[in-house]
Amino acid sequence: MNPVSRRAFLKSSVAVTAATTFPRTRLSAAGQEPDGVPPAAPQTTISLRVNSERHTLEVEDRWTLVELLRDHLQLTGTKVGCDRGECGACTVHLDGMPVYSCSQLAVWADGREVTTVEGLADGVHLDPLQQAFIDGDGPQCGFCTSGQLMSAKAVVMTNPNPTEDEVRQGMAGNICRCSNYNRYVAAVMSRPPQQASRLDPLATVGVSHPRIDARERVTGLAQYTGDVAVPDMLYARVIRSPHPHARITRIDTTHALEMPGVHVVLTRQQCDVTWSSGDSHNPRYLFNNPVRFVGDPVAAVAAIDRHTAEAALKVIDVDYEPLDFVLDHEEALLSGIVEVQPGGNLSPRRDGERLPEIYQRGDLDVGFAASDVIVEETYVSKHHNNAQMEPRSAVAQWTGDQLTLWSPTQGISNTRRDMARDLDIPPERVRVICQYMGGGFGNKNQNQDSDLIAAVLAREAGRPVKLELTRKEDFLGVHGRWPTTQHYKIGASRDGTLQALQLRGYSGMGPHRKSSGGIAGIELFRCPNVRREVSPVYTNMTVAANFRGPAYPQGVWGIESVMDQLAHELAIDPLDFHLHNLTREYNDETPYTSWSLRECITEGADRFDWANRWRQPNGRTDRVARGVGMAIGMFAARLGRSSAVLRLEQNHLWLHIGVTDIGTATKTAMAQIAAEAMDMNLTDVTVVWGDTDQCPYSVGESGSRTTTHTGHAIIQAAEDLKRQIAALNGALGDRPLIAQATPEPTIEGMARYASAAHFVEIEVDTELGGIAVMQYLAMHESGRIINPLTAESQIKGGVTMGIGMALHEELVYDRATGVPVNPGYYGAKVMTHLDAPEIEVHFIEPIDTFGPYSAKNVGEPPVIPVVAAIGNAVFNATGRRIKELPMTRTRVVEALA
Amino acid sequence: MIPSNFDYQRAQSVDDALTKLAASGGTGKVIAGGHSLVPMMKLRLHEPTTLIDIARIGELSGIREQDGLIEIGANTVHHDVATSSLLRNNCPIIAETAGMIGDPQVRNRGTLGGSLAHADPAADYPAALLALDAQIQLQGPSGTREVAATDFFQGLFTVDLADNEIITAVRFTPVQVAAYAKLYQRASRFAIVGVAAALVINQGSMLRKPTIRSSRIGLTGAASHALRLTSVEEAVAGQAATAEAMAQAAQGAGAKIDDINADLHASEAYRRAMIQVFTTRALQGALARLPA
Ligand SMILES: Cc1cc2nc3c(=O)[nH]c(=O)nc-3n(C[C@H](O)[C@H](O)[C@H](O)COP(=O)(O)OP(=O)(O)OC[C@H]3O[C@@H](n4cnc5c(N)ncnc54)[C@H](O)[C@@H]3O)c2cc1C
Ligand code: FES
Ligand code: FES
Repeated sequence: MNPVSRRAFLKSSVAVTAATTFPRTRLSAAGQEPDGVPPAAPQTTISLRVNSERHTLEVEDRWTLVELLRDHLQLTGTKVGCDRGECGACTVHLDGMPVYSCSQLAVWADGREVTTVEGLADGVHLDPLQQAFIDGDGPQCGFCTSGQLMSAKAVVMTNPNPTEDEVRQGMAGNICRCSNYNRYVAAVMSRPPQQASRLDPLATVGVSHPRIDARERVTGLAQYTGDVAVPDMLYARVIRSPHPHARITRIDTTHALEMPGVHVVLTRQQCDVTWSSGDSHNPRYLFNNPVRFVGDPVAAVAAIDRHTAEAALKVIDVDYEPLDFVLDHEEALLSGIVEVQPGGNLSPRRDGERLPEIYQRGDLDVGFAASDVIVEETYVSKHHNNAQMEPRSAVAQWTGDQLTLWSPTQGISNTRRDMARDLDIPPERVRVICQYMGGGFGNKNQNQDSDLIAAVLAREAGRPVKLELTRKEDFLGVHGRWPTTQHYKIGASRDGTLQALQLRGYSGMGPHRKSSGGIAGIELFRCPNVRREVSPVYTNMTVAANFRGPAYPQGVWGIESVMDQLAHELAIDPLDFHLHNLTREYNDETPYTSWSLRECITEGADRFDWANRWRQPNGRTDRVARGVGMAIGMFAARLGRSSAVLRLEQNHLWLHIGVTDIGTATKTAMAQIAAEAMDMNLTDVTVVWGDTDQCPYSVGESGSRTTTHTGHAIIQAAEDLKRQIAALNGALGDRPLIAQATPEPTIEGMARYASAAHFVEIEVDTELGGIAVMQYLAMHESGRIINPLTAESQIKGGVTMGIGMALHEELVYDRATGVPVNPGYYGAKVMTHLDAPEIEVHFIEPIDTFGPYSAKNVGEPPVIPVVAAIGNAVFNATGRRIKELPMTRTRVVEALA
Repeated sequence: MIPSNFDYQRAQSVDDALTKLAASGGTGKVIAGGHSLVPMMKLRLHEPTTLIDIARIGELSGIREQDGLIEIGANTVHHDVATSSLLRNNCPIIAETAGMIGDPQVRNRGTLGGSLAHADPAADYPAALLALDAQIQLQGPSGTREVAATDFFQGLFTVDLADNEIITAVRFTPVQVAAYAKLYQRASRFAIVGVAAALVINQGSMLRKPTIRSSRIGLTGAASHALRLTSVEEAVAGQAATAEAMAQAAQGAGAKIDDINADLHASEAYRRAMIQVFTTRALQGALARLPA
């Protein structure tokens, strides 16, 4: 054992023995800080081997192993997703055993061997598992991938031929929010992926291809925002409100400002920057007074390192005068309830009227009079956090009046526009870079308050600033899916024809209106008399906004449950009921460019053998009850403006597109489209992405739009380029050719949607209330599938997320205090390897010439039907319907009692 | 998520650890696997100024058998308990329990001593140690003492362990006919309800079916601390060694406990129902270990 030499309370300059790297931030600060240097923390000298390289270095006692690896040894392949032993993103091997490096002190590694993802490959030769992860499409966003690899490696090191269950158990500590669990397990089992296009593949489009950036994602080389380090960088932390609603009567920052190493403290008093993407209706400052939800930013600090920043937070004194608060969106509309925003809690419509959003056709009274059976039911869905693996982070650097921002965004172009607007500078002075990002599922569409806070701190400090939110801050300070209450009244005639359809719904938006708050789904059905009235409501819960399939998963759960109930009361097989009542026109009036929902249902039913498996629920209570369920969904595949620049140089194509690739394999799909359009090999295409200085406008990667919008731009630019080539009559030479396009295709007077039908068999353990998914079949139509391999991963992930939403994920509030009690992966019970069943995926591929090579969209649809399909299966198994999400074990047992 | 400052000291022996602990004047804490303590320090629920690392004290690690007793050193990590062939062969319940803790990363670092000292009401070991009637070995400035598991777990995060003491080992007589059954919390894998049952059997004969002579049943996850289900222990005694009789004896298990937890994992009513279900499963699981 190595003797330990301790030198407590060293002066701050860091003694480092030969051949090691050292703490950047401290070194740069040593002796040159105008405002002093914080007293040195106790340190210890340790010797360890990292990826076979020996290091002897002085570490601060309080450093965790991941802090040593990432901040001081620049081994940033190891990620931090929760910093508290829950997610597994930080998994490394310590003497050959997988451990959470966020929960180890760096000093413990003394005398030991640490292996990180960077140490897996042998030079350029990848570990077989890394190759299997590439071929089997393991990484989506890739943020969990290093950890998954390290756990998988430990499994195969001890057991070269594990069973599937052994793999799941061995990787149980590694959460993947993209929910690519099936792919990871299959890769470890060396089971190759199967999916192929049903259409005759073109040369490149329609052919399964591993992600073009998969190698970076499995070697730890992919650079995420948190991995960015710039010289002289300060570290920021944010204070957030512990109250759901309070007026701040005093903030005393004196002690924090006096602290050596603290550069800037910002509060509402010094900063009146508004975050316009944070609320489309009311001014939302970076720091607000009053604070309106637990997690509302109150102040921010930039200091010389993360420890000093944290220490400074602790000495900022804030006095709050608590105000009344309201959490429930229906209660918020009662008279006499506290106003969350001035003017009332019903968020106004676009026209400024404080009225619900109303859609109406026909006459409900007539419809109900014509109905033989009427079902009236209420469904309640909950706040469900996006919980993307990479917590929000930002690095901001000013060079003169020019801002460079590294941010994990879903849209660099939008973020640049938003930053310029909020900071009141011209867009050309903002550069946004996002090389890799760890998922968002709708909560990183625009600029984020974290981007602005980092930018303002950096401007004040005159030094670059890095801000990384904790997992808890990300849960509370960002947003999740809006909770809803949906009151339905639906009538049908005896022959099973819908006559009237009424929805009165309420969506809890938290105190800010970032997104629509819609409740979608009734437009899937044909019905002469419809009225939908939805009220987006301000509450003091955490902000709610877009999350994969935004308005659909909760709305489809409601409407599809009621339809299932109606079919039951009419004694009709729900499959037949669907086929009878589907609408071929959006809202019964707008024709679709192509419509395959019916085919999804019928083919899915055949594959699932629905006819032989569905039985009327019999209400028997066996200890284990089996049941089947189905549900449908659609999601708009819009067209719109986006740009692409193509540069052909020495027979190589450079594709400049402003995408960031949030895990959806956008870069790969775009390269495939370019290769196809140019009649080139995929290997001859290089994508330049993720940097507003190098890429033209691309629509943000939200609303499942990138493939269609940016794909069209690529094809149009390629046509131009091919014309240029043709004009040269083969005399291409060395001259680079450049083409660009910004098309704005439309589908006038039509609607364009992807569709899906899902079939599930479940088992309900009636003793425990547990629901287990036994078989899941997802039948999708998304136009032509550009890359079957990665598209199937998207579907698998979306379905798996939906299962979490159905069964256990929820942000729970303490009603008495208004405080959310379970922010974090474990608390909110995010899906793990052990929860994720195998998802079977099939695509129907119609020709829909409005899309690039007929493509529609893949990302959002898969989550939409899941909750409803499972709920209907629970009813089929037990004869009981659970009308409040999630369908936890406790709720199931109560429902069966 | 950033701990406050502390001074790290590595103890070379138990005596060294105790000396360092005493010298810290009440502001020190020992650290073993750190998988409970480090997260608490990041949340600043604990802010020790001295952290005394006991993880490398060799005498605190390992699994031994002596004079018919098994001793597990406090520093033994869950993985080593779960995979020990000595335990799997002679006292499978304890290996089974350790194998059900958390996930591989936690099992590779978390220790028996740390788990007992931390005394999370949802921790797994306490149930098994109650069923095994284990003795917990402690050492402090004035020497060693031994506390029976039944007396050790006293309240929410509270055990019979003084600030200046450390747990050195756990000792028990191995039991074959014992099993642990647990309802997992999703994601974290902690116990919503965990029941460990150990049975002493009256061997049957040609003319007499085997019966249960006595039992010890430990319950964790359900209340503020782990405790024995004495009323079930009484109900089981004398019953036929059959699955049905076990289910019968588990009726009303835990009904007399008045401080059943209600939290975001489960309501009180649900937990109550699960105590009965998992008591049955543990008793039946134990019976299944009866040599044929
Ligand atoms: C993600 C996760 C999941 C988990 N799941 C489970 C689970 O399913 N079931 C379960 O039972 N546990 C679970 N745990 C807890 C885990 O078992 C902990 O590792 C264990 O409870 C603490 O052991 P440790 O060695 O890490 O203790 P440490 O964190 O080092 O210490 C914990 C406490 O014990 C004290 N201490 C440590 N050793 C001694 C000693 N020898 N004498 C006196 N005091 C001592 C420390 O001072 C500290 O107060 C989980 C933990 C995590 C992070
Ligand atoms: S970062 Fe360590 S487990 Fe999540
Ligand atoms: S790939 Fe696993 S979290 Fe994104």
